Amino acid sequence: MNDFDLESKIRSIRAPKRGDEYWEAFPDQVLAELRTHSPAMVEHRNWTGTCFLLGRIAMACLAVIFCLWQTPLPREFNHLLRKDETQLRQSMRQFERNLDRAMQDEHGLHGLVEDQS
Amino acid sequence: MRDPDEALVRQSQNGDTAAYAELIRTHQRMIHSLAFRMTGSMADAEDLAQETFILAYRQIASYRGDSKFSTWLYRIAINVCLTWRRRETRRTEVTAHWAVETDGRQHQTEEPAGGDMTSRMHEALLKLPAKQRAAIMLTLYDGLNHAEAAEVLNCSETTVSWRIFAARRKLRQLLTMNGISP
Repeated sequence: MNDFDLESKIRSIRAPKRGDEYWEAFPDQVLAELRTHSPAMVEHRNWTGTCFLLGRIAMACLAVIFCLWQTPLPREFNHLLRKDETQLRQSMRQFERNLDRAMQDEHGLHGLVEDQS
Repeated sequence: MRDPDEALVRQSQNGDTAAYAELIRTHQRMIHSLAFRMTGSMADAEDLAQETFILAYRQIASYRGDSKFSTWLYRIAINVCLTWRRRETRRTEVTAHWAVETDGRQHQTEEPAGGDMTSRMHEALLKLPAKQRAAIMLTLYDGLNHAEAAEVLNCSETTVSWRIFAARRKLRQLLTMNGISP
């Protein structure tokens, strides 16, 4: 079979025919599909949804802050906080003093390490 | 040479869907025909033609008019068909493991118009590797020259020539096996 015969055989294949109605409807079908799955529309919808959600979260945060600001702390709670603060300050001062001592007593520290080994 | 679709393309790029519908009307038969010859099934061809036009509309902003609109559309259609082919091959491989009860007809194909010889010829064409088939379709059916086909297939002219040569050789073998050719 030469190239010409082969090509004419290949060219003899024709796609099955579709009626005029099909060809009339096809462009509208594509456009309808485009409208249904339009990425721009989806993106717009997502963006709107995200904005709405962020707005609600921001409003909720503002409401919580306002409530906390307006509500006075109970007296016992204040007392406990102050007590804890005093203890923390004392511990810090103690720590600083001990650290100074340890640094000044360098030889003693060496001795202690040697004794232990 | 001036592209006859130029004005409609520009209108479509500006979001005019009526203009795009007109472009679809102009090229729908060509794309259906190409998809049918690539898949061997009119049902699949209809889906792929629709997918091609949807994809083309979404990418139409990127069309700069360097080639004819029809060439650009062909390229999209060929890519859609090749992607379908890969997907279909994977799907067939997966289903083949557990679809034992099927009677061997894994893919329903629609007979092309024409006699038994045409049908066997089409069968042989479908057995060609997808890229070789695409090269044959574009040059023989759609009358594209090798340079245009190379542009559509995104390869060199030499590659197109080689694919056509290899496709012809393979077709001759297949037709001889099927008893079409002496």
